[in-house]
Amino acid sequence: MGTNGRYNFDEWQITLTAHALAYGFLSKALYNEPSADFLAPLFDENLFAEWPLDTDVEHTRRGIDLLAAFGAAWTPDQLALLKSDYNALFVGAGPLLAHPWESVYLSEEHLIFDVQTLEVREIYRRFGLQAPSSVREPDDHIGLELAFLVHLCSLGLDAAERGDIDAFESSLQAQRGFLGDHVLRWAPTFMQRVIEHAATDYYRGVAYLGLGTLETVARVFDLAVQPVGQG
Amino acid sequence: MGEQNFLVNAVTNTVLNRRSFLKWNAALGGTAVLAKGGLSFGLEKSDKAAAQADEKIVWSACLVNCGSRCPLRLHVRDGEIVRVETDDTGDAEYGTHQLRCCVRGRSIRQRVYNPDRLKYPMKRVGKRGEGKFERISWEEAYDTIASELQRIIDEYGNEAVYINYATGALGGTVAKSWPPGSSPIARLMNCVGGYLNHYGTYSSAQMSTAMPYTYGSRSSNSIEDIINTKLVVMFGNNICETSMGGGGGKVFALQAMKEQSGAKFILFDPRYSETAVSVVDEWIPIRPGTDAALVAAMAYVMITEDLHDQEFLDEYCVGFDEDHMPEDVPAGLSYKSYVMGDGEDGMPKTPEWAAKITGVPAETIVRVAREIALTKPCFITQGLGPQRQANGEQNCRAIAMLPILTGNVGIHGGNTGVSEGGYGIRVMGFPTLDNPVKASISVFMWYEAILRGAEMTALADGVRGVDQLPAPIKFMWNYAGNTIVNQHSDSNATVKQLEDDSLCEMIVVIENHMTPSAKLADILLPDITNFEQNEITSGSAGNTGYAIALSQAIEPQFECRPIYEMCAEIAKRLGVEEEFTEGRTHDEWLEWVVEETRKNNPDFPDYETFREMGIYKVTNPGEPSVAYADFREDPEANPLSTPSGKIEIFSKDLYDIANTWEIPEGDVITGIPVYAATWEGYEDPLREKYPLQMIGHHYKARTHSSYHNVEWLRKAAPQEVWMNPLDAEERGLELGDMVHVYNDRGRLKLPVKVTPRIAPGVISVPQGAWYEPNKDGVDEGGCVNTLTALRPSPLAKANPQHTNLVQVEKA
Repeated sequence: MGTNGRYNFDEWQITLTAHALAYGFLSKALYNEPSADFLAPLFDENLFAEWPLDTDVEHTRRGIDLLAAFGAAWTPDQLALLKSDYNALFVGAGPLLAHPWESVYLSEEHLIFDVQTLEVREIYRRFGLQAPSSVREPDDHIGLELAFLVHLCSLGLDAAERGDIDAFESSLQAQRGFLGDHVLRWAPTFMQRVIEHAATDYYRGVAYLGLGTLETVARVFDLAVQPVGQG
Repeated sequence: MGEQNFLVNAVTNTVLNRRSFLKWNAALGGTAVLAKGGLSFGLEKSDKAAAQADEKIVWSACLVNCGSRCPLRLHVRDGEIVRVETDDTGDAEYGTHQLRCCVRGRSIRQRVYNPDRLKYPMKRVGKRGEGKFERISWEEAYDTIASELQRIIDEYGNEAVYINYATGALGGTVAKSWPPGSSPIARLMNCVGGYLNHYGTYSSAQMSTAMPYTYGSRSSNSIEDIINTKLVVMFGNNICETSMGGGGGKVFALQAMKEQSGAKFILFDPRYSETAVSVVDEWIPIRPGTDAALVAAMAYVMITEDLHDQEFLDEYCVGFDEDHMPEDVPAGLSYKSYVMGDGEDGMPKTPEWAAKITGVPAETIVRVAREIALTKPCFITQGLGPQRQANGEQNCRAIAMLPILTGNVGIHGGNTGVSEGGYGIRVMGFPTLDNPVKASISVFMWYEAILRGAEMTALADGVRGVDQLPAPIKFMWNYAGNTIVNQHSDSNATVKQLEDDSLCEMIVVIENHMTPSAKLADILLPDITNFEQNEITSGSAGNTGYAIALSQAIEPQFECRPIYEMCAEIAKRLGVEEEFTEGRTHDEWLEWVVEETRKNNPDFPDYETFREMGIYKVTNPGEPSVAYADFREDPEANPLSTPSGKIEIFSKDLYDIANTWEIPEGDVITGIPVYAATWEGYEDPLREKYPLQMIGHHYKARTHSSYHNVEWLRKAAPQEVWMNPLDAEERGLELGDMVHVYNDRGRLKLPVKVTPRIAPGVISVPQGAWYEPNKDGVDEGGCVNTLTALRPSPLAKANPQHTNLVQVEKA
């Protein structure tokens, strides 16, 4: 489609594709319990050396280095260690080290299933989506919010391919709104907590990569990475 | 569209070659990532068109162990509780009043939506108590529990299985943990041969054991009978704090009755409690554990000044004087002989004698004794604090001596000296079948029964139902309870014993939150709250009885499941599913309960109407109830259920127990209620090392240990140790200083509240804060039970939680 005189479609398509891949990785890494099936291909080929986003961002660089080093030394028997790290950070039992839900950071009482959860649920619903129905978990889980961003990237790419400028622009507006109103307001704090409390360089690396990714997309969308709200 | 500038200005800087794209795309699941139509992984296609637009209001209740069951009206939007209100039926007049919940109920979202709630079934990995768990499936959890339970029953017998005292889910009908014998777990156990019973509660064990020796039961006038009195005298009674919600009705009832009767209120308590603040005219501080001495001195004043009701004592009582003693008892054992110094100890119980022990000035004792004796009627009542002592049985029977000496028993405006009652509606219980096991231990003795169960006997350890226990406890159920550690005594020693999994081999904990007790689980099951299921509760708010139909407000969170389903699943694995369920679901049992209730009380609404009403209230149509009124009217025709049929000031049964039981050195059991100096009491020489008496009052921030993890409440009412300015000055302490409170059992670290609201020589650590030892073993959570003793009281073999000696120093 080239340019429409105001902005460059080709560049945007590459950008959205790269963003979708980054969101996709982060979503899977933070939402699912770690598995050899997911990790082995990433480590075997050291995919982090080919990270799709700007690697000059300090946090991104840090994440890539940690993951590359972890991947180089990876053996499947480390999976138990990763699982225990994942449980301590996001599952329990006991106080979680890094709550993966938006409303814990932004709601007045720091609870789950709070105002932000309902807002996010409503936004998903407007796009014909919902959180997995098999388990009743808050809709504003970091992994689900990132998955929703993948979805919005896809919508933009579809629209670009069809040449539907209105749909393209509206998908980007939606993405910018979701990032600014939700993800960027809390996910950086969440990533910081993972960095602080992770017992493995894998999760620390993922969180650095997450932080760097958020910084990159904030710049692309001309948004600030906001500090966490005070309850 | 200025906002679209980012489209033009974006510096995307993206370098993504096709090779990298393909690799990453494949690693993330191939086409799924950027599928046409945009449906991505993680999320699903929505099956709902739009949000549920309107808020609905759902009736529910706060079901914890404060004695109230306060109604909550939950505002539910899009399947979530967004706001909490309370009763809006009725008005502000006493009798038709709204049953308004307290700050705890209003903060309930912080428990339901606590981000650290237990979410998945877990099994312990590593050492017991270390707090390390691994997520497992429900199937694995059920299979493990069923096979371990069967193994332990086969190996040790059903007496080796214990259901621990637990009050975290209390007041419901099916999903309830208390009394444990009425819980679904009891029903499950009774389907497979039963379990070791317990008697008594951590709240009132000494009183419920001791009072029947005096009256045949532990009855009292209802709180609304205060309307008929001129003077209210309370001992350690703090119902405005312990039961502060409108569903308990005590605060409003006391205030309304005080206003309507014009009665004066006097309170004996080491602490100027919220009840003192709310209704009391005169607060008289008294040293913990010395109530019986105070009462004996008041009796001395009454007898010497001839103010006692000799006619009442002659006609209705046994044991006041030597002329009214049972046969076969040596002389000198009557209450009068004890008081006047004609008994075994030869000590007249003068006000001067009592002043030294109690800390109450002699002239105050004389004045109040006269006031009690000369003001008719006089409503004398006690809370549960005086009885939760090493000599608690003596204290509560002694306090009852005041209404007995003054003839206030069995009349309007009088009382029995026992904590006051209220008007309620009876709702049928969930049937839990009969327990084939007859053996029973005191609620406080499970710790001993783990250690030396098979040695425990009736005469030495208060075992009931059998002469000796056949086996130690090997399997412990702990459903919605924090009494494994936090609410038992000596938390450090208790944890240490439980860490040894060769003793109690299996601990199953069913909980909402990761409590200090839950940390000791072998299998940890996430329970749903009463907001995630339907329930029924009933309660008493002064002269108003009520029942609430709790309707499920939200779907169960994560993998949390209802207790009934857990028990049914385990029953299935033990081959008794049909016996357990009788083909009914949890909700069908609730319907059954309402039908059964209606058989006895046709006015009770049918199930559907009840559920629509949400709350059903009945104001007492009659007079306030009076305990033993028929006995007072005609003692021959309506005898008490004591052996003599009379009020037993001297109990021959207790006298016999004192002569047959194996009683440890220092424990005192007597026919009459006497002041017994105890270990770690005011007179213990140990006070040279640990000079302060420590109690643990009930606190507004919590109901026992429930609500501890609610941030709002912790900020509003922080955990701090109360200390008199005289004691603080002596130690160079100022308000807010961090201090250590310690004795040989442990050490707490918490801030000090320097306040004249507590008697000199006494400190109070509000009970219920969660035990949280740091790496040096110092409990930074400030749990009072880190410092309390495992030694049981003499008769009830119960928890002496307010009998402790400690020292305090700057941290």
